[in-house]
Amino acid sequence: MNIARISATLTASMVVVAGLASCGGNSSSSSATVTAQSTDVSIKFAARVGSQTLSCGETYSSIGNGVADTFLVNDFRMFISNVALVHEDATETALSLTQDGVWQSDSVALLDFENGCANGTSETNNQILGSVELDNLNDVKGICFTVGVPFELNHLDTATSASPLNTSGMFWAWQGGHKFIRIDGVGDPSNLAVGFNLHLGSTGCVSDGSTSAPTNECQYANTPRICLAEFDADTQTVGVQLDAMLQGTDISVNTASTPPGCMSGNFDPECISIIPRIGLDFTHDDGVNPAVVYPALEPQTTFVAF
Amino acid sequence: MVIVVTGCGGSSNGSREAAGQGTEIQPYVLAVPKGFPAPTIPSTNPMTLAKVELGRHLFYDRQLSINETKSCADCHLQSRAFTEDAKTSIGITELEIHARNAMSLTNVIYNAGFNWANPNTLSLEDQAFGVLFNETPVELGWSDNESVILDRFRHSGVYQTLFSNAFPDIEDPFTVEQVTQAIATFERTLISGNSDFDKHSQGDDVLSDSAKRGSDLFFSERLECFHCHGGFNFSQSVDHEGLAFQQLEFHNNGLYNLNQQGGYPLDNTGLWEFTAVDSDMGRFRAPSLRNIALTSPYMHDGSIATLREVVVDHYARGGRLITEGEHAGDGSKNPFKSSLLAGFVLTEQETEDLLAFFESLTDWTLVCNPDLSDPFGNIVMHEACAQ
Repeated sequence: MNIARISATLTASMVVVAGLASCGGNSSSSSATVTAQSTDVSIKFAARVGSQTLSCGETYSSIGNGVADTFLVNDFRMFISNVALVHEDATETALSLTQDGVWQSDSVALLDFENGCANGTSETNNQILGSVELDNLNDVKGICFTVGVPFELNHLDTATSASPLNTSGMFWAWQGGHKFIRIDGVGDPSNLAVGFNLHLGSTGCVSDGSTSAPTNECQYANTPRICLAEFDADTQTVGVQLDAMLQGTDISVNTASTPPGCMSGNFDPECISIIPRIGLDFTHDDGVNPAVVYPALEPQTTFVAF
Repeated sequence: MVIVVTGCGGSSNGSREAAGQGTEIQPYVLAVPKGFPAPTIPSTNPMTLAKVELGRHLFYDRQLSINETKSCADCHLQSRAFTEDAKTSIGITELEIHARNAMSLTNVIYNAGFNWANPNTLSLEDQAFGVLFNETPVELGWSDNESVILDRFRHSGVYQTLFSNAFPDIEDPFTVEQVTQAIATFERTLISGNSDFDKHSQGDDVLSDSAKRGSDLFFSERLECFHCHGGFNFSQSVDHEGLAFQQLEFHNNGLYNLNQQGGYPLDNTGLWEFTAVDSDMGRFRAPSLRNIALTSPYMHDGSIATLREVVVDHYARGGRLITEGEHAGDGSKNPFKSSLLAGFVLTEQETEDLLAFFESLTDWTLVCNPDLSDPFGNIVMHEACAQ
């Protein structure tokens, strides 16, 4: 089943959008009476370890490549933006996100796989809701989305932004903007108890200081564009695989005097094996030796259709 | 009851009629600092000028305690950004000593929760209620004595006017509920957003180079301070308009590690006291760092005297080491410690820079604001206010 067929099954939720041209400018047509039918589309996500759905507060084994390989997960949230359906001819149709005042604002959605088991929020969100015009549901074959928040929204004052961009736990600082991925955890919790987190966000952002926003895009935006060539939104879910993300890392070790886990900094050795696994090149620069670029691993296995 | 929260033109005919006494209800218009979100004010307790004035009197009036020795202000001094000059608080009996250091009231209007680790105190009204009625230890001694204390106000001409202006449509306003509402309303006016740091953020170049470097250190992944003390209020646990979620966080910061099992002193177990969940041992709410240079000593139990020690002896090593005595243990190895506390190495200059940044968070317009001061003249203002 493909997305084109979903539309036929979703007539109950079909929305008639008439005369949008005057406010949305959604076409170049000069006609003011353009009438189009749109339909709701839901993209389901799940954080997973192997084929197991991840549960906040649980400890998982066989994580990473170290001898001590148990990992306690205390937080797991991420921003997704600019979701698009991909057609057989490789053209894309952007999903217009439902502005729900909670999980989605503008082109950005917050996925929240944690339930406040440690900190974070008790509410969870495992899907992105949007709509497309019915005509654009033909020959849909896959999906693309960006992990992170677009630059023009990323560095605004979070306190006065709309939800979910005002979620304090997902904010870094004005200069860096938001955390795009926040995974907090503890490696080998019953013995070594090493704090090991993944906080992905933009780095190399130039501004007057950490508390002012940059005017130009950051050197490392760190907003990977993820595409799943074969994805059926009706029957499938986007799996976010914690095990794949941490596959090349010893989560029971953190290099002294570096952030606990990988916090996206170019000097942070724990990022070397993690960031290329989420679709990004990582430039490691320890300040002493020449910088080394670790290219994105292809194909990426962190985001999968299942 | 007509609820007039903010904005002009609130004193309509409608509110005059509702007032019953012909008294106009004048809303208290909060001055929200630039870059701050709109605060949440409970619809059950709208802010009015008269209620703020009553709350200010009650906050500073030692008649509020059963033996007339202490008021809220005796543990929440304006000169110290509304915290105290003591390791931990001493109740009205002078014998019973609280296990915890009084928290600063700076920007409590933006708090997601109150007290150091109580997940159930979610309003300022509830927090004030606790101070009035607590028995272990006794704080202001209202338990079994509320009618005695309320009668003091009922029979005072000054308070008759203050209460009736604050609660014009309540027949008998001399109640516990109205007292806590008025105190909470006054506390909501203790807004701080005019420090040198704020002026700098708005483009006024008032920060020293040292403080600027300290700010960059504070917000760096090297030190990680801002993960718990981030955002406009330097605390992740904030609440305001426009939020879809409750954001109330508690962290174990490695202050203790009794018996190497992660334990904390039994009178200060943090969130564990309420949940009995192992991993909640030693988890406390990260307070705002605004005015932090004025609020020594530090930590929930006031066990660190200076900010320098907080940075160098505690956070830099990823948790405090206590080498001997009943609290001996290496807090950096506490199994329940936050995963964000890895420790760091600072040069002496960097430590100075960080301290200069903390100093830049002091807001003298809060500390020296006469509208927030003691109307009875018992509480001395900060000496710097005279300048």
